[in-house]
Amino acid sequence: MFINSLILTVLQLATGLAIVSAIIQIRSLVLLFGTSLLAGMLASTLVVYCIGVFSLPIAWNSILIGLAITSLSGILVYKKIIENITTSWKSFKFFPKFYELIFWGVFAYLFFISAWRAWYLPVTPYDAINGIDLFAKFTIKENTFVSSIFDLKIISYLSTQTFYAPFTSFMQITYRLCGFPWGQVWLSVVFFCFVISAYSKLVERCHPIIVGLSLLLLLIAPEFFAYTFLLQTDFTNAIFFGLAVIWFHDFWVTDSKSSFNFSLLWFFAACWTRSETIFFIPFGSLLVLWKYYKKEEIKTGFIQAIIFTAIPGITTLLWNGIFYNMVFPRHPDSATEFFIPDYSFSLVLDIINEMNDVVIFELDYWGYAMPLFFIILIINYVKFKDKQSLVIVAWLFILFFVFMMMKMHMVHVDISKTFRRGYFKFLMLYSIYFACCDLVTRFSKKIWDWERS
Amino acid sequence: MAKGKQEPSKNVTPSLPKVETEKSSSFFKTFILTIITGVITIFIFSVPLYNAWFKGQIKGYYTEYKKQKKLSDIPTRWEQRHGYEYMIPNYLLKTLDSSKQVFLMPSTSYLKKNNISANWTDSRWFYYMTEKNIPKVYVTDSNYRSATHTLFATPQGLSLIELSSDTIWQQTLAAFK
Repeated sequence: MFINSLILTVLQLATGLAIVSAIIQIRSLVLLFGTSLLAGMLASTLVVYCIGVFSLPIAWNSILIGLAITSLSGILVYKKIIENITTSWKSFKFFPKFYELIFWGVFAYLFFISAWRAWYLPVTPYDAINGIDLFAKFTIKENTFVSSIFDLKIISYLSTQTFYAPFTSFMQITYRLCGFPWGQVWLSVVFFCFVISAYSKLVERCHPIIVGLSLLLLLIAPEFFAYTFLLQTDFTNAIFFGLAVIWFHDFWVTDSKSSFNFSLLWFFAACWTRSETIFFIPFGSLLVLWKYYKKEEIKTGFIQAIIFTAIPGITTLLWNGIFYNMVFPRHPDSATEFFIPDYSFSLVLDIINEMNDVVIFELDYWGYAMPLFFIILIINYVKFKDKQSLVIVAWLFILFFVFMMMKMHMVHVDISKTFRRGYFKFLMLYSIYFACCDLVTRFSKKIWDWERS
Repeated sequence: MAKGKQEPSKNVTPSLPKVETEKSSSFFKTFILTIITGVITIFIFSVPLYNAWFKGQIKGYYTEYKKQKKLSDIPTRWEQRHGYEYMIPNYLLKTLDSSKQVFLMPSTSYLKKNNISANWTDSRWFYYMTEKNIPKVYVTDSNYRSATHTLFATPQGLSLIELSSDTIWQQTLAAFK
């Protein structure tokens, strides 16, 4: 198992390094490592996907061979990889500041609890037992995606969980084949990579103390933390969505094309982990269009806005289009998921009230991240008129609006479960806002100035 | 938005200093910041909500660890490494008669009385049943998800018997004892 996981990680890292280097130049070695491994994990699920589409046997060797071939793509961008590694190596600090160690100590302890549970305990969430993990187990047992799980006598007892977006179930297949008895230990790898990546990226603009506190508020939100070791699609979805918004904000502030492309990679990954995420993306296209409109580059804006929806949209084509129809012997009819309600103002109000009461204002789930967010938002906007970080607030509005519309129009969306776990994305954006808003960056600068005076 | 109010794009480039390029701070100032960071972190964990949560995590972890130690002397091929016996706690083991190859699921009221989440225990039973190839499953009432039971039971040739009431379940448990 150790050798297998080592080989898997190295291949994922090599593949991810090629993907990241092809898109963006990164100045932090830790950030390069974290994002590369995450991108490599994404690539490894695409390898599993291809194995399935081409009806090859689902086995450890086929995944390894596929991933090894994919990692060879690094040859095409080897100059960029070398440049990325050398640049980031030069700025690598072996020893963090002493005050950073406090956060890293707390993060390490939280990670230890999470990783131990992911490794030691079985898969327990109902959706996973009856869907994601069950699908993975049948696939491994029978070496094919067209397993006996699709026999009518079994599938008729299942809901849509078996057909959830593929990232989670493909990771389960990979890590179970790797030798982990419950597979889900990859959740810890995602957790680890996200924390080091987000920290390294956000400290580029913000003082480490503030970044550490922001991430601490995110990680100790009880409900969020639980899903760092409970197998579900939403935690990984929030991680990828969070990374996407971090680089989208970067693009918004700096006009960097590579940041735009890098955010697209993570939006693609977010849609690959949870199908409904695609409904948020077109609203992001409107933000892109707005940005180019302000620059009086309408034509470029249209092209970029189309690209912004089209790239993540590929996931829907790959999964709901190709995989559903070419690989699965039977699948749910997506059209039956939707319905048209009797529209009324009271219906909207009822949904909003339920969202607020059951999820948003439930401190036991989220801790104090939400009230703190509103306080900072108000001060930040009223006192500093900070418009740049409003793009993160815009994403929060998009999330809220689309969840409301989904509840209104989709059969299987419910607030106590779907929206509760979907709220991880809000929580993620609160933390990113804390580290990106003008109020905090000004305060950061003051701490830096004092520290170095 | 009026065109005249647009900000030139060059102005939006972030101008905050990079950490690594700046002059390093003195030991005293780092020390002060460390103390402040420590105090804030302790403060966060002392807020009632986080306090309860954090203690719960620590307690939960150590309780689980101790249970695992306590139950690890039951030798079967999975238990010692992956903690099957930990996952099948004592109260569930009481309902198992391996010689008769029968597994009795606890009733909803039994779970409630012992403050056990039905959702949590579901998976333990199924993993255990799969591992032990137990041919019969007794379910007390319709509160359990019959789809889940049927799903796991049918493909493995397990028969599914639903007991109609908690009383019958208690009688069945007594018969095992």
